[in-house]
Amino acid sequence: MSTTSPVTTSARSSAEGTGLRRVALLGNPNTGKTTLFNRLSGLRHKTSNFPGTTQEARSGRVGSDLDGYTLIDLPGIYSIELDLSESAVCRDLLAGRTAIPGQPMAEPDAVIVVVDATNLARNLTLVGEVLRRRLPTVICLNMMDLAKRSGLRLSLASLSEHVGCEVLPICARSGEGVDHIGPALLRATIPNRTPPGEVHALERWAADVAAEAIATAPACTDEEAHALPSEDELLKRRARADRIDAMLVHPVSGTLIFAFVAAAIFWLIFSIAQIPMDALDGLFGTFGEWVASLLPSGFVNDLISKGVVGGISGVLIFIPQIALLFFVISLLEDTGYLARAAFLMDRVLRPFGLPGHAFVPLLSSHACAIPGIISTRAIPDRRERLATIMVAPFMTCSARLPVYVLVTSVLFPTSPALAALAFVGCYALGIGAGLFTALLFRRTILKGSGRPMALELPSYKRPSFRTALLAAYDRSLIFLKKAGTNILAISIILWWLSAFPRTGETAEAMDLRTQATAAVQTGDSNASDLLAQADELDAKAQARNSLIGQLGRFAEPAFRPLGYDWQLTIGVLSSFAAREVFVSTMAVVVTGHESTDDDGVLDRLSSARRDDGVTPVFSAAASWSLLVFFVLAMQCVSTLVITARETGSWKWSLLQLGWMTGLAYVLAMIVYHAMA
Amino acid sequence: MPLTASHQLEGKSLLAMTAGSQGQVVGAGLEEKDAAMLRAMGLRPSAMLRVCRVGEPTIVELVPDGPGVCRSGCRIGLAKSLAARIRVK
Repeated sequence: MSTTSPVTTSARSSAEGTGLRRVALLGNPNTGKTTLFNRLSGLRHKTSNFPGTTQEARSGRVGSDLDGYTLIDLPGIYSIELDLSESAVCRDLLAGRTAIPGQPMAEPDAVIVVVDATNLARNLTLVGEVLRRRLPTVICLNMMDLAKRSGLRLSLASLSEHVGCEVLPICARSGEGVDHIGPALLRATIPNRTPPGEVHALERWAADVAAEAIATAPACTDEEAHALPSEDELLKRRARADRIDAMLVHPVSGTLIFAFVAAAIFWLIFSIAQIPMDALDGLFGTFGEWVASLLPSGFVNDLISKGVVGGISGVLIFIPQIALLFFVISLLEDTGYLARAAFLMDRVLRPFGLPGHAFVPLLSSHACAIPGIISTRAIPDRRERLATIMVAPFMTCSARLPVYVLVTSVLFPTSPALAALAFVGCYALGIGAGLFTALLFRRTILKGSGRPMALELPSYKRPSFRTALLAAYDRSLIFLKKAGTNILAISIILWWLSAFPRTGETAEAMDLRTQATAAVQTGDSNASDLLAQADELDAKAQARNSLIGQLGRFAEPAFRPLGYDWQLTIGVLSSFAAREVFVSTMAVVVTGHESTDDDGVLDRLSSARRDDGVTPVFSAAASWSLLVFFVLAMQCVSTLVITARETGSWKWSLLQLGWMTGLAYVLAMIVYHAMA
Repeated sequence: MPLTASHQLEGKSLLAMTAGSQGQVVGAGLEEKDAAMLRAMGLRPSAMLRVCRVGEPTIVELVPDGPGVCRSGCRIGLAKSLAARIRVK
C-alpha cells in the first residue's frame, strides 16, 4: 500500500473559497445509494441526462440555497474502469470532463462513496478507484444494521486509517447516522492514502483492508453476543433464500408467480388507477365548463376551455397510471424480486434477441411507451437496448384503450364476452408484433450476439415505501415534462384545425331552430330534441369543412384500401398526434359532441353512415381493420421525440414510425379485404 | 489466472457442480468485457463460491472465506452460457 503526505485542503476551501457546491454520490448497485440520495435531497431533485449520453443524471439540493450543496447521484457501478457507459459517466464527472445540465464543467468538491457493510471487500475496490482520483472523500458505510444482525463487526478506526478519509456508519433506510454526513463533507480532505492502480493489487488491497477491519473489530458485549443469530439460524436463512430463489426462477413455478404478479400490476393500473383517472376527467370537464361560462363566447373561450384545458387534461389523466406503475415496480425492485424475474424473462425474450432486462421497459410500456423507453437505460448492450426501444410502442398503452373500447363495443354490442376476447387479442397482437419486430431487427440491422446476463441478486428485504413514493413522483414528473408539452401543443393544434375555418349556421340547422321556436310556442315537447339535432348538424358541418375535415377528404384515397371513409380518415389522422384523441374526434365528426359518455352517442357512432347514406362508417370489416391499425401503428409524436432523444438520432424515430405504420397499414388492409 | 484465459483451463465447469457444493474460481474462457464485469462484481480468480442453483440461470453465492471475496453471501445470477465457461475447483 502506498501513502502520500496528508493534504489538508478541505472540501469547503477547495470550492474556490465559496463553500461546498457539488458533491458526487457514488457506489455499487444495491448499496442503498438511491435511498440515501432520496433521504438527503427529498423532493428537491431533478432528473436530466448527462450531456451526449443516455445516462440519467439526478441531482438534488441538500440544505438551504445559501449554505447547502448540490448532490449528484451517479449511476450504480461496480468499477469506474469498466467499458460501460455508466462507468464512463462516473469517470468523466470525477475528472471534471462532464457535468449535469446547469452545472459548471469541473471536478466535484467532494465525493460520497456508499459502501455496503455486508459486502466490504468488493465495495472497497470501487473505493480504491475513487481514492486514486484525489478528491475530498467521505465513505458512508451503509447497512450497518444488517451487518450487525448477521454477526459481522467492523473496526471503523482501522477502515478510516487504511482509506485515509472519514468513514461514517449509516443506515440510509432508517436515517440513522445520515445527519453526520453534512459536517463530515465540510471536514473532508483529499485522502492521504493512494491504493494501487493495477487491478490485482487493488483487489488484494481491498481484501486486506476488509480483513483487517474485521479482525480488529471490537469484541461484542455479552448482551450483543446473545442477540446474534446462531450458526444454525444463519444456515436456515441461507437455505430459505436458496428455496425462494429456486422457486422464483423455476420455469414452471417462477412463470406462475410472474403471471400472478403481472396480472396484479395490470389490475392495479387498469382498475385502481381508473378511480383517480375518472375523478380527474370529471374535474377537468367541470373546470372546462366553468371557464367557458366565465368568458364571452368566441375564439378565446373555445381556445381556453377546449384547447388548453382539454390539452392539460389529456396529459394529467395518465399520471395516476404512471405513478402507480412505478410505485409498484419500485416496491418489487426493493424486495429483490425484479432481478429474479429478469432472469425468468430472459428465457422467454432471449430467442427473440431481447435480454431479460427488457421486461420492465416492456411492462411499463403497457401504461405508456414514454417511461418504458426511458427505463431501457438499464439494458447494458446497445443493440439490445435499441431493439427494446423499437418494440416498446407495440405494447398496448392506455391511450389505445378508449379506441379498443369503442371499436369492440361497435363490433360486439350484445356480447361483452366476445368484446373482451377481442380486447385480449389486441394485447396479444401487440406483444406478438413486438417480438417479431425484435427478432427481425436483431437478425438484420441490429445483428450481433447479445451479452449473456450476469446480475447481482439482492437479498430479500422489506420494501421502502418512501423510496417507492419518490420513484413514482420522479417518473411522473419526467412524463409531465417530456410528454406534457408535446401533448398540450398537439391538442391545441388539433383544436385549431377542427375549429377553423368557421362554417357558421347551416340552412338545415336554421330550419330546425325555427321549428323548435314554433314548438316552444305551441307547447310541443320536441323543442329540445330539435335544438339538439340543429347543434349536431352544425357540428358535423364544422367538422366536414374544417381544415382537418378538408385534410380527411384529401387523404381519404390513401386510407380507402383499409376500408376508411373521410370521417374515419379524420379520426386516424388526428390520432397520429396522440391516439386518445381518436374517440373524441370521431364523436365530433359523426355526432357533433366530444363526449362519448352516454350510450346514445355510442349508438349514433355505430349507426353512422357514410356519404352514400347506406354503408356504416364502422362496418364490421372497417372496424376490424381499424382495430389492427391501432394496435400496430405508431401514432404518438411524444414517443417519437423520446425515441430520438434516447437513441441520440431521429433515424431510429423515423424507422419506428415507418416500420410500425407500414406494418399496420399492410395488416389492416389484409384484414379489411379478408373480412369484407 | 485471468478470466479471459486462452490456454488450457483447469478445474471443471460451474455447470458440472451440484447445488450446495462449494468451489474456488480458477479461470474462465470469457470475452474481455464479460470477464471484467464479473470480476468487478466479485467473481474473480480465487473467489470462493457456493452454488445455489445450476441451470438457467445458475446462481452462486460468494462466500467470505478466502481473499478477494465478499464478506457475506452476495448472490450473482449467471446465464447458463456464462456459467458454462467459468472454471472452478
